[in-house]
Amino acid sequence: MRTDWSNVYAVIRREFLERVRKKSFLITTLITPIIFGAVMILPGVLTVMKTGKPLHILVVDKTGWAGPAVVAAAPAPQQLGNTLHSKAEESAQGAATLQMAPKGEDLEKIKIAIGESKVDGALLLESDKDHDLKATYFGQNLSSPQLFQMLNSRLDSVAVVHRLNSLGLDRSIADKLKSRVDLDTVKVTKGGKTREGSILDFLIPIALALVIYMMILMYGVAIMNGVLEEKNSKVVEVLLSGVRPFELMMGKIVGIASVGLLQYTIWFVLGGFVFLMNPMNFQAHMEGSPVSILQLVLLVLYFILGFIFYSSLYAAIGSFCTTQQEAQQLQMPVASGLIIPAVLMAPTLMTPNANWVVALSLIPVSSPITMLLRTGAVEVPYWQIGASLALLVMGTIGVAWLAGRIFRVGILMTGKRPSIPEVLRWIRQA
Amino acid sequence: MDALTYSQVKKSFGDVAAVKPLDLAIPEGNIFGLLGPNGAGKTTLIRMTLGIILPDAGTIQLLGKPRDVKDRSSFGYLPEERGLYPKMKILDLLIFFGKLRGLSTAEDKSRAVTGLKRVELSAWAEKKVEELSKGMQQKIQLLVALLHRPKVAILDEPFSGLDPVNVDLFKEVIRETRDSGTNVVLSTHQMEQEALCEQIALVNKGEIVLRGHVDEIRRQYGSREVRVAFGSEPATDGLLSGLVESANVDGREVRYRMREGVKGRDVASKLIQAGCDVTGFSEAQASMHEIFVRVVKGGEGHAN
Repeated sequence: MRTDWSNVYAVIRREFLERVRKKSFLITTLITPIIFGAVMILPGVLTVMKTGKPLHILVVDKTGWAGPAVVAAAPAPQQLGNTLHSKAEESAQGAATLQMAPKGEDLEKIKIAIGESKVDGALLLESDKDHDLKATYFGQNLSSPQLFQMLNSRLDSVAVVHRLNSLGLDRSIADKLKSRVDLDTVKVTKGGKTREGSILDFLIPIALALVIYMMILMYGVAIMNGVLEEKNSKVVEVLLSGVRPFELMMGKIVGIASVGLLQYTIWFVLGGFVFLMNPMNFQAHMEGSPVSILQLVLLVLYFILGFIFYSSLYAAIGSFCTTQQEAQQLQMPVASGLIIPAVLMAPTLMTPNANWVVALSLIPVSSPITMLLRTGAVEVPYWQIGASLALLVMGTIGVAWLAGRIFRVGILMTGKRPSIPEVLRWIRQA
Repeated sequence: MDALTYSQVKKSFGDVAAVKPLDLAIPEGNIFGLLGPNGAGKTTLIRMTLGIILPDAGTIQLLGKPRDVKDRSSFGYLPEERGLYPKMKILDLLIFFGKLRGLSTAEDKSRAVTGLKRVELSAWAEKKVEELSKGMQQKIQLLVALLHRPKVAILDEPFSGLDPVNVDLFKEVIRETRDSGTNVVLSTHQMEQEALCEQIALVNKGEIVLRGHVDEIRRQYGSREVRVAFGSEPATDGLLSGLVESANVDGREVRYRMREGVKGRDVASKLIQAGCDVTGFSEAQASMHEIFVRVVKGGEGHAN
């Protein structure tokens, strides 16, 4: 029996057009990036933006020397090489004003004012027994790390100068001593080539892996539900009087995958625009583009293979269930094949050449995600990439064949869900 | 030549024998009725014919040749339960199924349009399937089965959910289909639909219990009941005792149940010879259901 590709094409066409024409496609395509953008950018934007009036903090000075210095101090210079971070800090500087408490206002009075929200906070400065600086913050709201970071850096800077002065060092020397060392990161690739490291070195592999992860989960489930729907609406009987089960399954998988690819293409283009225009100045990091051609090729290969691998399984599950709930339960073990490597993302990036990571990047179940993460983190030997792809190709063919056999029998089953031994019998006999 | 030939076809599900080894030839150029109660094995037989499931044993031939599983465009199928995509537009749906059965795009569309006109649904071409009534959806289902002009169209319970007007429309379309050269196999538990068929097979518990031309079966299994109306008081028992086994008197009308092998006219001539005042005589038509029950119960059953 040969596969009739015109049938497969007809199924692909229908799946694609019917889904793309739906209003829900348009809506998810537009809404998702908005939600995503909001989740990713809003916290940053909100901290960058001056959120209402700055906090009003009174400084109660019991040392006699630290108060004016803390009020006047510039923040300690920071060289984190992280624009987002320092921006947020800058904004915290602007979001709070420090002021010496007026003479005669003692701490108890100020505390009452804080309780009545007339003042946002008070900073109590004291000398400890070694004549060093000791500070206490009083406030209604203690949940702003940026504020404390800012206060801390001012206090540090004042204390350091004070300590150095007490050792008899000149203030200018003290300032010099205070300055931090700037640590630059340089990424070394094959052949000793180097380029400046950037935050994208870290973000790109995660983004690639997440794209694959979400895509397979979202559209895999869509395939499962599509199969279930066809089965329950009995369309499948009419279809199978003209199409072979394998043709139907392949048509559905490719058709729905194309919908996903279209959606992601739209998102990438939209994302590209946002990327170029966003306020965080990411494009400065784009120089010496950290995404290699190899990574893009691998993204596409792992996506296609991983997608067929998982969607075949999803199609098979859909074919032998009768209700959504049943299918939801059964898809959990399949989904965990994707979830586990995704959960292990952080250790994978930290130790990309550990034995277990290498193993995960070779096993077909987890390789699409783990291998993409690794290629972002280190130079993966070509033989490992080759082996991983070869295994994935074999795994995919095997799974598609298996799923096809289950699908053929399952799709016409009604009533009780078959037991595992029954499914195994189908695989042998179908 | 026969449209379909089954030899020793068999299918079991677990311990249940859905179709027992079965031989059947469905002649060409016919509307063939596959009649039987629910669960008789009709649908299983149909699914095997279509290649949706494989028989455990036996062969099925299409037009004298082993059925080419690849060439599924030879069949048209209207399943017992409606099987359409609820969200698809009618015209798109018809074109999709036409494509799956090998129609070219241009041919596909023109046939879909003519088909919709024939079943009086032209105005609905751009509507979604779910917006249609049950009966309308059934019409679409019929078009899906027939548009590609299959060699054999298999219609499983085509009349379910249809009003009498649409039943007539369906019958017309089915006859036209036969006249245009498609072999029609009609499967139904509504045995009164045998009138549409030239030949039938009665199926029960996975076996064919009776097969042949409708007229012959009728003749063979004609009714054993006659109704006689008398002008005066009927007094006959002794007279007919050799011919009938029971008499049911209702005023001046009597229903006689005849003995095996006795013909209605024997009863009539006996009465007339005896000079009875007969004003009316009718032989009750045996319904196919009655015949079925009689065959299944070994000829001793009585129609209810």
